[in-house]
Amino acid sequence: MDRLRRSVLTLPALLLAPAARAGVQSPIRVGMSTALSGPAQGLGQGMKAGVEAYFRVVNDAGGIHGRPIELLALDDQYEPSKAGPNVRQLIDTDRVLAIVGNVGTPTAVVTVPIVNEKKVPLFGAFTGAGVLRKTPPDRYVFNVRSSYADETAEMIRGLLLDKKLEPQDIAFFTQDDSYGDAGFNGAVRALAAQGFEAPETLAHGRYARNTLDVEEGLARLLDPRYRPKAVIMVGTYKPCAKFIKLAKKFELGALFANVSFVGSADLLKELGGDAEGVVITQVVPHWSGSVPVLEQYRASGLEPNFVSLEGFIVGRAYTEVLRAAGPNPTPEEFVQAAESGTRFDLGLGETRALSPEVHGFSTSVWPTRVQGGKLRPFSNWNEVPTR
Amino acid sequence: MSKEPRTIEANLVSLSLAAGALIVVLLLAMIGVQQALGSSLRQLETSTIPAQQSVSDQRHAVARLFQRQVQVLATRTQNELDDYRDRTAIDTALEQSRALLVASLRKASGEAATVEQSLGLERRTRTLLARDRALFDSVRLQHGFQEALDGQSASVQGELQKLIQEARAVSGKAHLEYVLALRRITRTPSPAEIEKLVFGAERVQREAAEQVMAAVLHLGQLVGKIALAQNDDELNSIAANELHQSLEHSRGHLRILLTALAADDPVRPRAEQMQKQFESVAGGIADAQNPQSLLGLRRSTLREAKNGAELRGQLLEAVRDFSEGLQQVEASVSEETRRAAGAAHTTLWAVRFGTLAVFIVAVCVGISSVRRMRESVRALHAQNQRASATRARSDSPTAASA
Repeated sequence: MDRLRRSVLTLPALLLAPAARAGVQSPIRVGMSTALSGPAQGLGQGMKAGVEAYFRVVNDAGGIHGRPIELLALDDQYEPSKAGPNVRQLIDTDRVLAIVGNVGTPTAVVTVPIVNEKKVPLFGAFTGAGVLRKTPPDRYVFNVRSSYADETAEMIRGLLLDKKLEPQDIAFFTQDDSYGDAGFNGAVRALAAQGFEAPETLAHGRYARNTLDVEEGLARLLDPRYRPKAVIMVGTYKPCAKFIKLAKKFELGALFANVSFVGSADLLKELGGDAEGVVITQVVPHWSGSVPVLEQYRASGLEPNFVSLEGFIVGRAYTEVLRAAGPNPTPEEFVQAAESGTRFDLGLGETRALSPEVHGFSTSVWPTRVQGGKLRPFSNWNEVPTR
Repeated sequence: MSKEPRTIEANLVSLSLAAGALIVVLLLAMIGVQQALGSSLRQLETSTIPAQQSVSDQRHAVARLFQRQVQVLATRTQNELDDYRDRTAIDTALEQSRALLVASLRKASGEAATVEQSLGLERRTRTLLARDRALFDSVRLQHGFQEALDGQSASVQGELQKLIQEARAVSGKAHLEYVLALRRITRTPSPAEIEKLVFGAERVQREAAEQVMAAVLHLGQLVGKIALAQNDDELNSIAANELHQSLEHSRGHLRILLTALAADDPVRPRAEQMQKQFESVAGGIADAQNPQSLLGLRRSTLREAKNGAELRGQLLEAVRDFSEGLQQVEASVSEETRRAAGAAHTTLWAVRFGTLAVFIVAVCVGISSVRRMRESVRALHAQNQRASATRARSDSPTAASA
């Protein structure tokens, strides 16, 4: 009788055990559509490496509520026409919980409407464009990095307040599209905040995307009517490098300040000896810092650069929210957890809470400059010489 | 001489005969009624109702054909159109309902006129389907031309954009040279530098490049106008006036630009490439011999749109013709229905009159029989009285003494 009772009591446990085990071990799937080949592959591969490295750290420590995280990355070659189908496949077929760490503005323009339609979070995209930073924010779009506007605003602050330049001493060289506009408009707002209301009087050269035709833009800045002491640049590394080289050749003699998307490593390589003194603002701190996430990053074995570091921090931000969302969260529960007011620790020395009105983890900008062929962080813009 | 009343037995025999005759008549009437009503019902069941159903099916199939046409006309691409290519379901429904209709009509009347009507309907159905197919093919061609036009238009716009970018690059280089000269003069003014600034090639190059840009931009507008031209007259006017003028202007400014560039100028190969590129784009826009040029494709699109409009008219005519045929058939079917219903109605009234007549005959026979029976009974009474009187007389004393 006892044996029978024991068997009856044990049977449900035996039947449920494999399911329970499977539940514990089933991975949390997240997707990424990024440039794994083509001209922007450095950015895509860097982000992927960074996100995967942090997920590895989490999985080695037992996962999130016992579940490992799995990243499914698809190659979109930085092409909007491929990013759209990729994201649809990740959501509809692979049933990912979120899209994490996509690269680029033109691809984001396509993917943001998709994630809003499918109600799946788009988390930590590698772009500072305004399309991901609406007011109020899109419910399913979360940013980890600061915007291009934040970066150019930091440049304006440093140039006007630290270096004591006049607004008329500042010129712009921007890509002739929404990326360039985003950076320029951020700078204009920052200038307005400092009391300067005539941005149209400043020298502003532009170049067409995917070309190296920077001469017209340079001619505008070299016009004797203007004497810029600093040039704020919102472009990609090849045209920006050509511009800086030509400007130095024709003795423009100004400080050149680039936003993070320029691609620091590629710009340095392209500029060679002309890189000295060039400023690049970053949306993550330099990896040599002492905050916890940077220690984790250095221990991850990745070759340090700002792109993979951003991916690493995006991975950490995502897992922090995921942990707060509970053991088996739905995309909706993930969003609720993100907006709940919980303070998330990204390991950058301070915690940050999101809300339905705030979907960005950071507005911080870390300026760096090339010194002795290497990028070095600085805090006071007076450290950077102009002419 | 008074008529002797019939005996009760005779009356009973007569009554039985009358009742039997009535029953036979009633039975015959019932059989007759059953036959007549059965025939009417059979006609309704086997020919009239199926014919009506077939007419309804024909109308339903034509409604589906119309629905499909609306969907076909609402498509914008050949891919969208391919979803409506298969018309088998409608064809089958039309053919089956028409065959059933013909069979029903033959069964109902067998008249040559009705068969002729149905044959007319067959011809009309074939015409309707053929014109629908022709319209479908026309829409397909229109989409094909439109897609080719869109592709060519996008390609030309892309090429023009590249030309503008090239012109901007050439202009930018000239502008840079000009600004550098300005800077030199600002620092150390010299007559040679001033002369170079005023009369040098950079100004001409920049102006020519800017003129090329303006002309190419205008050409881009014309490409849009060509794609939107609503008829051949408008297209001819654009081709002969604005387009010709714009192409010539662009060629002229490109020549000026090349003239202003020295043979060893690093920009010259780029400008020469621009010229080649421009001629290629110009051919893609306005080559009269090339049906794949923008003008050729727009002409084809307009021509096919016109053809499509005519086909739509023809199709409407075919639908009208088909509807008329169907109305004639429907009238025949209605006539058959009316005839069958009339026959049933007549039978019904005949039954009513027959029943009344039989009832009257039965009443008459009954009255007559009652009268005869009464006479027989009276005669029997009289006979009994006579017999009683005779018995009384024979039982009286006289009779006893006798």
